Amino acid sequence: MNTTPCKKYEAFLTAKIFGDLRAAEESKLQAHLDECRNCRNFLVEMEDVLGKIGTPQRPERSEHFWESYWQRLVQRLEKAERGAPAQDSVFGRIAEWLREKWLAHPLFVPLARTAGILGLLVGGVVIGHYWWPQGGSSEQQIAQLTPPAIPVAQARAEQWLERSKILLIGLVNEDLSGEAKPDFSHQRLVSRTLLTEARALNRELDPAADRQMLQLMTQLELILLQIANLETEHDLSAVELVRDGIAHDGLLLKINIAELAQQNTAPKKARQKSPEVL
Amino acid sequence: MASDEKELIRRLQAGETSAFRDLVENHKRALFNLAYDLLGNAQDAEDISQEAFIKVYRSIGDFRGEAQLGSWMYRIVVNLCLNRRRKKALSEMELRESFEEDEMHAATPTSDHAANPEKVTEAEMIRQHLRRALDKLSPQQKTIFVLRHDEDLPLAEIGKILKISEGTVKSQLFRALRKLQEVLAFYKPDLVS
Repeated sequence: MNTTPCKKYEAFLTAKIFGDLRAAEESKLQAHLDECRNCRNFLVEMEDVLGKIGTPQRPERSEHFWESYWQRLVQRLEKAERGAPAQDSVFGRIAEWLREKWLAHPLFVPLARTAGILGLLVGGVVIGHYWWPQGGSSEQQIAQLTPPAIPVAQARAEQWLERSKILLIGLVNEDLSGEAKPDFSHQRLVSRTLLTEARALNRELDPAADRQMLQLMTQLELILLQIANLETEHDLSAVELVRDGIAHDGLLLKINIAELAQQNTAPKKARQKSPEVL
Repeated sequence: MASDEKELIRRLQAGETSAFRDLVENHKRALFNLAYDLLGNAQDAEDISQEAFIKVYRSIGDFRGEAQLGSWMYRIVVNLCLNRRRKKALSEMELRESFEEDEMHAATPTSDHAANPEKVTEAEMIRQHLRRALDKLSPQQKTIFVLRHDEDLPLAEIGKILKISEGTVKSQLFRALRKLQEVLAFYKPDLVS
């Protein structure tokens, strides 16, 4: 049977057991203890309890554990800073408030479920509206489907090359043996135009990136100059010289090779070149 | 508040990493031990003590020095431990934890007697029984008992930590003692014989 102390002196007894009794309380309790056997016994029993319960037995941690404690804490702190929002941030406080106030509320689960379903529906509509392919093609979709853009100067050089090729092919295949005397006025005009464009292109093209194109253009410019300088309608010997020059330099072959090369490298160059694109 | 502590708080609030390290080095064992005494599990104790330091790190700017730094940190640890206990109770993990805890106690170098049941003395058996009885107390009663008996904090300080009056601390402590008294009654000589 345990001893039950007097209710009035419970607080004093507790303070006495743990050595927290004030001087004024000490004398008051002592006067009571002198008269109350129950309270005296309780005091003895409690001292026995505390004596037997002893000090807490904690697991011994190695020195390494304590030395590496800081390191583990820093790692954890860094992880916490990267991950979850800080508790003292606005969002952290709102989340904490929600946890404390609403998570335990009986209506929380049905409300959360309803909100979740509504959220899914609204999310689906939004995703469908903005991400699902529409009937009409928007500018963005066209842009996505369009092949990579080609820089302006390079594209103009390719066109210049193509037009030069056509001119040369026409000249090479011109029948000079017929009775009708050929008229090269149109070829001369085209050659002059091409020469004018070539001068502009020489300034615009990149000497390093478009080195091969510039070399080919230089060779073609010599031929175009000869064509542009055809003096008369019947300057057949001059035309023969031009033909020989085209054949000797293999210009048509070089143009074909250059075009093939352009087709292969154009997308790559388009990504590297200036933002001024077609 | 001691001038050293004021200076440490000033450095902490100025964001000095070295100050935070000083704080950790000075209090890591105390916070770990308190968490261990309240939870009885070394892994949880480290987890809680580190969580407490992180809370201190984040909210030192709000600390106005109304309480001592140590008391403030103790309060953080106590609250974290109470939350942990609540969560564990909710997830019905306490049974498993108690098994693990028993195993850990058996393997703990400090509990040599427990490692060999044949050598367990009567005193040790009573001590273990009383310690287990602490877990049967209410969370607040156990916390108060641990803070007073194991951590040797004055009653007034415990009141500040738990934000309750000193009178409440005493009455809760008295109830805790009464429950432990009941446990000890089991070993009274008259009942044994």
